[in-house]
This record gives sequence, structure tokens and C-alpha cells, in this order.
Amino acid sequence: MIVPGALLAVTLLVGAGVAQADADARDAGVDSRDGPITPDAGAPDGGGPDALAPAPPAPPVGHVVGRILAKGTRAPVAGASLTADVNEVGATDAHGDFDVAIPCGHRRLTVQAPGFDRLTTEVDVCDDALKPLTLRLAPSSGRPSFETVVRTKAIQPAVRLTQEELTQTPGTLGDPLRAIETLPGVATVAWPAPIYAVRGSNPGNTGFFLDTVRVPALFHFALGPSVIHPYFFDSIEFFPGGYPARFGRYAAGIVAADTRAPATDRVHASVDVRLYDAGALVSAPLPGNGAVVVAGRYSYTAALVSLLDDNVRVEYWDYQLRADRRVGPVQLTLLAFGSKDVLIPNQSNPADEIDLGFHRVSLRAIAPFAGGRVQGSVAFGTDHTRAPILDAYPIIVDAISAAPRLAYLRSFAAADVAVGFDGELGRYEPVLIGMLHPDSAWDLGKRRDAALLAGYASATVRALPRVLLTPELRFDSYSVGAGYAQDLAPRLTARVALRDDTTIRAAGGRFTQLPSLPLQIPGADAFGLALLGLQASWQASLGVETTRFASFELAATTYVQRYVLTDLRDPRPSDPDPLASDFLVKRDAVSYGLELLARRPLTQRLYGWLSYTLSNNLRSYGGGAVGPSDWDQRHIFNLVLGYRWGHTTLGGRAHFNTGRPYVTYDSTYGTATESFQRLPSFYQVDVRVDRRFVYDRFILDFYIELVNASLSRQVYAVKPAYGGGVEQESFRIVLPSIGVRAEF
Amino acid sequence: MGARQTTFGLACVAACAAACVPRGDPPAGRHLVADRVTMVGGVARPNGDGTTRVLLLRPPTAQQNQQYFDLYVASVDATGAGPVERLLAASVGIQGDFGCTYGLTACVFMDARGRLLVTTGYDQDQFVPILARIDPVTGDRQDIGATAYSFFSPSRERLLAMADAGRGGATLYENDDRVLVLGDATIAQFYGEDLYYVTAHGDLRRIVPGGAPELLATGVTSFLTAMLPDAGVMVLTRPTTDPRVSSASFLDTVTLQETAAPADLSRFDLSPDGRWLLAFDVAARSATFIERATGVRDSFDLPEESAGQYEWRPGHDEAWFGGGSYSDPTISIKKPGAPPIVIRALPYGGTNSLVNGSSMFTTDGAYWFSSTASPDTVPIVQVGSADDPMGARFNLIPAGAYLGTYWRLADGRILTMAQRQNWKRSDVYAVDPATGASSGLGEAGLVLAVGQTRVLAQLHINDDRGDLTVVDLADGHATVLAPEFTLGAAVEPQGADNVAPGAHVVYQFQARFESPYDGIWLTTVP
Repeated sequence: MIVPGALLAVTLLVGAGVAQADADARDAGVDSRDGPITPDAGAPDGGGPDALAPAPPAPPVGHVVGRILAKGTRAPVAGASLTADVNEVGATDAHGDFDVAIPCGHRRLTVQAPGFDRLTTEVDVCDDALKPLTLRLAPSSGRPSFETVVRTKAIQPAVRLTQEELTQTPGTLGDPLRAIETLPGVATVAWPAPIYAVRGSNPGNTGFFLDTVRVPALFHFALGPSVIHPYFFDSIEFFPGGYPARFGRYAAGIVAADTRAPATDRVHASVDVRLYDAGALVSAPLPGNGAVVVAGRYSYTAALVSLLDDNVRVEYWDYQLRADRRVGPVQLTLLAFGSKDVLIPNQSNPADEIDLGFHRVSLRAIAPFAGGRVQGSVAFGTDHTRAPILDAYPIIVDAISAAPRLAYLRSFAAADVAVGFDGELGRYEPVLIGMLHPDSAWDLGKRRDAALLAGYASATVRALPRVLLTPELRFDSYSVGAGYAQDLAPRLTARVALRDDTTIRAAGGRFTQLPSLPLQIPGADAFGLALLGLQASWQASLGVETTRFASFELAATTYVQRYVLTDLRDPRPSDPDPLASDFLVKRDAVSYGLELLARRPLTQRLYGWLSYTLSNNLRSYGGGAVGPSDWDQRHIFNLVLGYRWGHTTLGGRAHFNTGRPYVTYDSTYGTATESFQRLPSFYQVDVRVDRRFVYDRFILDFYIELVNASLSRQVYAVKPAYGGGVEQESFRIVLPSIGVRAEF
Repeated sequence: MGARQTTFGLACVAACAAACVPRGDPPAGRHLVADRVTMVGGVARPNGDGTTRVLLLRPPTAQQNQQYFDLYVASVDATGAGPVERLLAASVGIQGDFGCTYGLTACVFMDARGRLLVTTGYDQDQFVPILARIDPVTGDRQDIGATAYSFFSPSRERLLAMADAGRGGATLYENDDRVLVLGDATIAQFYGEDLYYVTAHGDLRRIVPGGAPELLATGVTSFLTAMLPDAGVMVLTRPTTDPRVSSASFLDTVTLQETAAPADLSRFDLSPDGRWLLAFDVAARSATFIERATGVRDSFDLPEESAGQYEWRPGHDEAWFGGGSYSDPTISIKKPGAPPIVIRALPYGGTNSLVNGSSMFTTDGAYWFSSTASPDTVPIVQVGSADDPMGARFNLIPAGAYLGTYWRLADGRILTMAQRQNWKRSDVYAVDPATGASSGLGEAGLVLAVGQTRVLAQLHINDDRGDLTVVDLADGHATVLAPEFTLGAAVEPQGADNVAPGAHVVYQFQARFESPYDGIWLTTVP
């Protein structure tokens, strides 16, 4: 039985003859409550089947009925067993209710459920005063009340994060999307900024989807949290490469997040308050069927910052909504989310203003069809971006978009088959504060329409008893302004079970993407196709997974990625000009490496994972020069550990990465001599303590976190020092966070 | 397959993948020098022996003067053999340029025979450079000595070196290698190919090509030539008894006849063709045209609020006077014998042609430039027909851009560089001044050389490096000779066409990071 975040309660309803719960029982979570009293109808008053040899009269019994709830959340617990003294007398039904017959008298009633502490109380069965009781069970100390984890679930090589891994990973400030920075294949290129380069690609080459809706921005400004409320997520699946064909338009990897379905049993609410912002999440059943959940967050950072400098304005907020409802055989899901960021570093200079915002609303329908099921959705969106790019003049972009998806899935004896279509239609309307260059095919600053359409087919074939093959084919058509391109991308994934506990997994294929900025900026999408063509990659990976070593899950993956990516023509431009066609250029790149992941699941008192990435990321820089990618970190190591001690969890993360390349510049006679210097290695230690306080009707989660508790200094630049040597530019940031979350 | 074999296989795959990172195509042409320090000095003028001589500059060693370069010539024949290098001069400075202006790393000053004018040192007493002229073919070196300033005749066949502008002393270097020491020359100027100079004793002398000094006038303190050499007239100035007043006369440089200027004129100007004098009476806010030959006068009032700015329209007996206020500027156009025509417009004189400097007119006087913007904002430069000053005017470049240099193309269009934030990243337009039809020929770069049918440009410049591009002026087709990383380039001089198809182009290619393609390359104009 899986009950997230659970605490239990039991309501006992006792029939004729009622036991008075004693003080100990109340302390254990027993409530008396008004309710129907069931007359004892089970006790025969004499006589039995054998009239010739009458049996001794059976002892009188009373019917005890009740309900078991999780302590704190009031969630009913099904399958809890009840024992009267030493005899098992029954179990709760799917609603947590039970009705058991117990011999009259003073009895010890014990309730047990997986994941919860055993609860024992005493009742006087058949006592007229016995009223219905509610018993709340507390979750087991030191063990999770659910199963969760970092595990590979998809056919394609992926790492899946759920539950506590999303919200309690040390060093992430409780943000689920930040948790991916601890996974293999991910380089955090400019900590603490949440900018991730996956397998040597640019950060802008990895896509983020929420319930298949592309998310244009992941995080609020600077060190702000993710734009999605942490508890809105159900799971995050990270494909560092070789992602499924139902996704597309990214040359590297995919992060696919699923939202959590709102609870249908009753109203739930949570409120969280942190040092920088506050958020809330409320869910409620809908009349008839279904439920809705609404979440939001607002930052009062502006007020804090204004206290320090009234010339600076910082503001952000976000919201999310999901509503589920079944109409006949059709399951409908409405999803809406949006975000807003405003940063004005200097209110006297409006040109420096950064204003990012987006809204998405999606309606999804799933229905059985022709022996399988059909899934259809359409998402509408608006984006507004005002941002000075690389200190140049601002670019203001307003965009609207529509993204339809349709898929049909059916399982056969030998294969699971899916065919589908997805599209993105967008209109981008930039407002320039600057001049266009003449007759240029570069359209970043021009009004343009984009139509991105794709069809795909996928089959997971059970070819042999121990072999799963997933051949996929995706056809993409890209149309942006005057540019057009199409691409047929084959993909293949294979899983071979060497033993029951050991699997070899291989994946490969082709992936394409429109030209993109190295860093994703909302509204700065769908441009440059006519001039630059598509970004593309050929990817291949081979890995092995095993669970044969005690309670550890081990995975090792080697990969090779061959890219053609768009990149800044000059990463250190003296005069950046986003409106000129030389702002971006296409570069060849190769990345290969080894990724290791060893994890101990959350079901263990000591849990966590160790990830290590060894990679070499090479890039062509034009003019015949080949060098390391700007994002290349040869060694990346993360150790995430958590230890549960009662309702307290102590967590920590140790991170280490070797330095990425940094271009140093020297000038003689007007000619530039540039060379790579490696930034020094960086390590950091993060610590986090979570403490849960469980009350009968609500839960308080308290946490305190210190990111970079090791006080490590991040070197972000090096340059030749006057007189020789190298001079470093660095900062030291320590991010404390403290928060409390109440769940009702 | 065992784990060891698997690992080995993967390692091989990875190694192959790494080795296969494409470097991209090399730039066009022959790779002459492979390093990151050698710079382009130019291409020597061809002498018909079939050898292309590329001038190279290498930075000094630490012991040398850091402002100077070692000048080499690399001889390249058509057989494809490697270049043969020779040191022409060690530790030399570069004088001026050689038709190659912006964006070029370095160009050398070259005379009509292709000899190079370089600085070999610095005179610490006179604080002037020491010059030499070097023949890149023979390596012959001619020391010129300490020189305050030097200049060529229009044909670049004659070179005058002034040793000391204040104290006199000049040397004329003829094309036939004769050297004429002019002694006490204090003022000197080529008028056409003829050299005119004034000695410390007030003698006005002339030396025609191949000739000897001839005395033209005495008692002269200065002279002023008409703009056009064909005019054949100059104004001579002599002192009078009143030190505040000079007397003026006209010298016909063909007949050598000298005629006195009207005595009542204290301030006047010559029209470009020398036919007219324009005299001002500032107090009366009037001006007068005087025909030099006949003395016929035509007086007229200067425009309101005129500060006396005017400009002769090239090729026409016509002067345009600026007037009015900033908010309501006017131009008064006056031809002798005709009433002034007043138009509301702000003349734009900042337009710079490499041929005739800043002017509000094109070199042929057919078109004129104005600005529609207020004077304190970025000018919106327009071009219109000077024959129809009240007719249509067309934007020469987009509003908001600054106009840099322009060229007049052989087909009559105007080639402009529109400067944005960085002058090295100007956009290149060709505009038909008659119709206003504009076409973009390149962005974010500089024009290096303009030919009859081609333009050589360095486009998309970042950190001084750009795409070396030849643009066909007829259809705008661009051929990138070397993408992204061209630091400097020069075209082989070939007759009147500065970018003749087939002419050699030498350029320095320096990738952002060390590359096997770095160095000096030689290619041809497509």
C-alpha cells in the first residue's frame, strides 16, 4: 500500500457493548465520535445445528466498526489489519473502514499497516458507552511511508526522481528541477545558477516538459526557485540522451516532469513559507468526480531587496492548476501554469529591465479506442520577454503558441505500439530597440511564424524472452519564417536481461532542433532556420544495470554524442549584436564519456546516490580549431545521502567537479591570442535537516538547509596576471534556507 | 563478448569519434605562412615577371622597438611551389596606408612603381620619423631621412619629403630616380602632377615632371590653388606695408600670366574651376560673385542666420549656403546671374568620400546630402538630385545609423557604410541616388576595397576578425573567401580596378584558438 506522506487514524465503531477508550488509547490516537451503533445480531441465544448435543453457548460478541486514517493527513488507509488480543479479526476496506466481530469484554485492539507504527488501544466490547472511534496511525519511524526513488523506469535510458528526491535533495533548496544537477551527465556550468549542460551540449539543447507541455523557462531569476511549485510535481524523468520519440526538437536530452493528480477524497491544502517566498497548494474534489489542484508562489524578495537598495526591484510569482475529470469514458485533464519575473537592477535605467513571463494552458483527453487508447491534447501559450542580451540593447518579444498532440497506444502480445503526432505553432513579434541589418536572413528580430510538426511511431517489441527492442521513427517538419527543414530521425533502444537482476541497455538515434541560443530564454525561440539550418545530433549509449549487490542499484553507461550545434560565434564578443546574422554560428561537437550511478533506495534508512561522470566534450571553433567545449567538466562527482532518524532526516550532498575551460585573451598589435585555461576544480558540501511534526489533523514540515556549507569559492574567470601567472576572479556564495510547510 | 572486449570496442568508438571532430574547410587559396604572428603588409605591384610578391610584417623581438615590424617579401610563383621569403627591412614602421583602410592589420605606403615607404627610425632631435623607400622586387633601399611630412603626387610617381615644415627644406623624388633637393622650400603642394613651392625668400617655383625648378613669381608668402587642376589658376598672396593686409593676385599656371585681384576684396574664394570669385561682406550680410576674367559682379543677400557656411557644387558655378535655425534650417542655392533658390533642408556635410573628403555633394556634384533629423540627434542622411534640389530625397542609410565613408560606384550608385554601435561593424548598402533603391551588400563589417565590379569587405567582425568576402556589385552575390577569422587583407594593385577579378588577395587568418589554418593565405578575386 502506498500512501504518500502518510499518517494514519482509525475510527472504531463499536456495536452493542461499547468500550470506553482509556487515556492511553486517546494518547495513541483514539477518538470517540458519534456514529451509528450496530446492535449485536451475531450472538445466538441458544440452540445450534446439533440439538442433540448442544454446544456450549458461544460467548457474546459485539461488532466493532471503525475507520483508520493516516495521522496528519486524514487519508484513509486500506488493508490495515486489526487484532483483538491475539486473534486477527479483520482489515480495513478500501475506504479505511472496517466492521469486525469481537467477543465482548475488555480487549486489546491492535492495528497494523505497512509503513506505519503499530497502534494498540483497549476497548470494552459490548459496552453501551462505546462510541465510534477514530484512530490515527503514525508513520513508521525511520522508514519512508512510500516507495520512491532514483530508478530507471522507462525503456529509454532515464533516471526517475519522485517524492522526497524532488523536494529534499540537499543542495537544491527544495526545488525538484535542481535535483537533476546531481545526476550523471549533468554539468552545472555556473553554480549556483541552475544552468545545466547535458553530455557536452549547450544548456539550451535540453528540453523541459511538464505533462508533455514544453516549459519555456525553468527557474525564476538569479537564485530563484523553479517556476513550478515543488509539490505540484509527481515525478521527473531525466533522459540525458536517447529520449523517446514522443518528444522531439531538442538535440541533447529531455527532462519530462509529470504533475501529481489531485486527491479526490477531500480537500487538501499545504502552505509553505520560506526565507524568500511563500507558496500554497490546495486540492479539492469536484462535484461528481475528479478533482482540482491549484498552486502558487509569490516572492517577497522585492521587499527584502528594497530594504537594502531601493533602486533595485526584484519580483517573481508563479501559478499552477490541474483539474481532472472523467466524462463518460474520457479522462480529461486541464493544466495551466505560468510565471512572471521582473528584475530592474537600476530603476533609473529602464533599459536594464528584465521582464520574463509566460502562461500555458493545456487540455488533455484520454479515452479507450479500438482496443487501445487515444491521447489528445492541445496547449496554448503566451510569452513575454524583455531582456538585454549580453548587455546589448533590449529585445522585447511577445509570442503566442499552440501545441496540439495526438497519440494512439495499443498493446499486443508481442509489442506495445504507439503512433502519434505533435506540433507547435507559434507567432513571434519582437519589438526592437535597435536596428535590423539589411536584407539579412537572420530573423531573431523579425516578426515570424513558426510551424513545427512531427509524426512518430514507436514499438516496444518483446522479441526474445529477455530482450526488449524499441525501434522508433520520428519525422519532423520545421517551418520558421522563410526557412524550412525536415528530418527523419530513427531511434533504437534495446534492453537485454542478462540475469534477473542485471540488464544491458543500449540506445541511439538522431535528434534535431531549431537553432537556439546557448541558454534558453522565453520568446527567443524559433529563429534562424533559413540561415543556419537545424541543430542535430547522433547519439549512442551502452550501459549495464544491476541490483545484485545488496541493497544497491548500480548503473554504468558509456555514451558518444555527435552534435552540430548553434553557438555564439564569439563567446566573448566585444560588441554583442543579437540582431546580426553572425550572432550565432553552427559548430560541430563530439562528447563521449562514462556515467556511473549507485543508489540506495529511499526504502532504506540510509539512502541516497552517488553519481560520477567522466566526459570529454570537444567542439569545433571554426577556422580549423578544435578545443574543449565551454561546458566541459572532465570529472563530476555527486554524493547525496540521507539518514532517517524518527521524523528527522539528516541530509547532505558532496559535489566535486573539475574546472571547465575558460578563454583567456591576450592582445599584441591588435591581434588576439586566445587560449584555454581550466578553471580550478570546485567542490561544495551542502547540508539539510528535515523534521516532521505530525499532529492529528495536520503535518508540519520544517527544514533548514545550508548550500555550500563548505564555504567554497567559485572561480568564474581567470586571466593572465600582470607580471605573469594567472589571476582568478571568484565569489563565495552561501545559500541558507529555512522554511516550514504545513499540510492539512 | 567479454567486458574487456566491450570496453576496448567502446574506447575505439570514442577515440574515432573524438578524432572526427570536423575542423571545417580551410579558407580559400594557398597557405603561405603558418603561424599566428605574421601579418599582412600588402601585395607588391606586379611587374610582369609572373611572380606575386606578398609583403609580410612580423612583430619585433623583445629587444626591438615594439612599435616596429620586420618587413618581409614572400615571392610566390604560379607553379605552386612554396614561397621564397626575404627580409626587406628590419624594424620598420609603416607609413599611412595603401588604399586599404579600415580593418586591415597593416598596409604600407606604396608609390607608382610599387616601392614601399617605411619608417626606419625616429629622429630624436627633430622629433620626426626617418623614412626609407624600399623596392620589394630588388630589395633596393633608398634612405630619405628625417621627414616631417611627405606626400605623393596624384599619380604617386613623385614623392615630396619635407624635412622640417617650419624651417624649410624639402626633397623631391622623381619617378626616374632623380632626387631634387629643394633647399629652403617652406610651402609645397602638388597641383596636378606639378609641384609648386615657395622658398624662404618668397620665390614661387614650379617643377614639372622630369623638369627643373622654374621661378614663377617673387615676393610670395603663400598660394592657394583652385580645386580643380584643370582650372589652371592659383591665388598668390604677397605682403603689403600694412602687416594686417595682404595683396592677392591670380596666376594662370598655363600661361603664367599674373593678374591683380580686385583691390576692394578683402576676403574671397575661388570657385573649383577658377572662373568665379566669391566675396563676402559680413557686416552687410551679403556676398558677391565676381567673374575673374571680366569682373562682372552679382551681389545677393546671405540667408537669414547664415554663418557664412557654403560649398561650391562640384562641376557647377553654383554655391549652396546654409542658413535658418536649427529647428527650421534652410539652404540658399545661388548661381551667378540667377536669383537664389531657397529650400528647407539641413545640409549634411559630414559625408566623407575618400576622393574629395567631407562634402555635401557627391564628387561629380550630381547629388547632394541632407539630414532630416534635428542637429542634436543621429542624422537621417538623405540623398537627392542637386539638379532638382526640391525633388525627392531618399534615405541613404537606415535611420539611427551614422554614415561613414561612401564610395561612388562605377554604375552611379552610392556605396555606404552605416555605422551602428561599433564602426567596425557597419552595414554596407548600395543606393541608387536617382531612385532611392537600396540593397544591402553586407552586414557588420568594413569595406576594404571598392572595385569596378567587386567589393572586398571584411564582414561580421568580432574582435577584429571577420568574413573576408567579395561581393559582386551587380547582383549582390557574396563569396566568402575566408570565414570568420580574417584579421587583415590587401588586394594586389591592378590598374584602375582596385578589386579586379583575378587579382591576388592576401590575408591573415587567425582562428580564435590555435589552428592549422592560421597564417597568411593568398587567393584571387573571383
